[in-house]
Amino acid sequence: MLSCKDVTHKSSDYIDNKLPLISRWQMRLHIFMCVRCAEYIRQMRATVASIGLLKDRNEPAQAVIDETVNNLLEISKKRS
Amino acid sequence: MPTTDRQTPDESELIQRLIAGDETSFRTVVRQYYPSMHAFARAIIGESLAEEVIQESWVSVIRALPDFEKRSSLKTWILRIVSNTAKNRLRKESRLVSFEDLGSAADDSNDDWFDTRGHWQASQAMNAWHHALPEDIIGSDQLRSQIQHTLSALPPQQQAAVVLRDMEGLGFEEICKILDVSESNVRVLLHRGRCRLRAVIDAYNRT
Repeated sequence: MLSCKDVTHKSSDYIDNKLPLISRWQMRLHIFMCVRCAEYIRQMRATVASIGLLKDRNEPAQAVIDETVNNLLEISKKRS
Repeated sequence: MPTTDRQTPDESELIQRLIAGDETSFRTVVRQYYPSMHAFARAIIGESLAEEVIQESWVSVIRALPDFEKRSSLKTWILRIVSNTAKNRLRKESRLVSFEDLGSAADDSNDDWFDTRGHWQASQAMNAWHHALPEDIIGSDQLRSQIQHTLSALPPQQQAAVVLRDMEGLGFEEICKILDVSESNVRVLLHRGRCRLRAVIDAYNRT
């Protein structure tokens, strides 16, 4: 039987599906019975999902694209 | 969802056009990969040098492209080059030790939360967050700013692992190739970084 401390230490591996099958079932059983561990896992999942929302989905500024592409074209021409 | 680390047929064509010096293809890859390169470079070396590292990495990418062995996706290969470029830069700045040191700063041991049998201490409350949904967490300007600040203050390897996995959605195999560390190390780095970030959100929810 896993302790609550074990559950918190394995929480990332559990979320990432990196635990062996038996450990995964042990985690599920513990979380089913332990309100505080269930809440901890919920919070870790929310943390991971929140980090994902921080991703910058904006394209770089046009000036940055132009400058980078011009540099690359120059290097490419020199190489050929 | 984590991406697969395989090349698509389109990517092979794109690589050929890049080698041929096609401007449209350069624009495509710069638009597509710049945000990931920037987030990753910033994680390793900080905001002030990220742009220089990216430009240096692009030069290396174009020079090395004819020798690209296509054992990974183009994105993974490019991020690996960013990683090496940033590490070289850190070395010049004599800060490499901070990148290599897995055990530095944050660790995930919260031993005081538990009794001797590993059960929660009665005093350790685990209340549901009132900002519990990711959209609510990031929707709060103050909390989002605290998370971004904490993320940028994580040790470089932890930050890099969190950015690659939780922001970029890369798989463990790709992250290992990019950071040149074992999967068990990636798992430790991720867990430590996430624990720090969870603690920030938890503290905000307790106020």
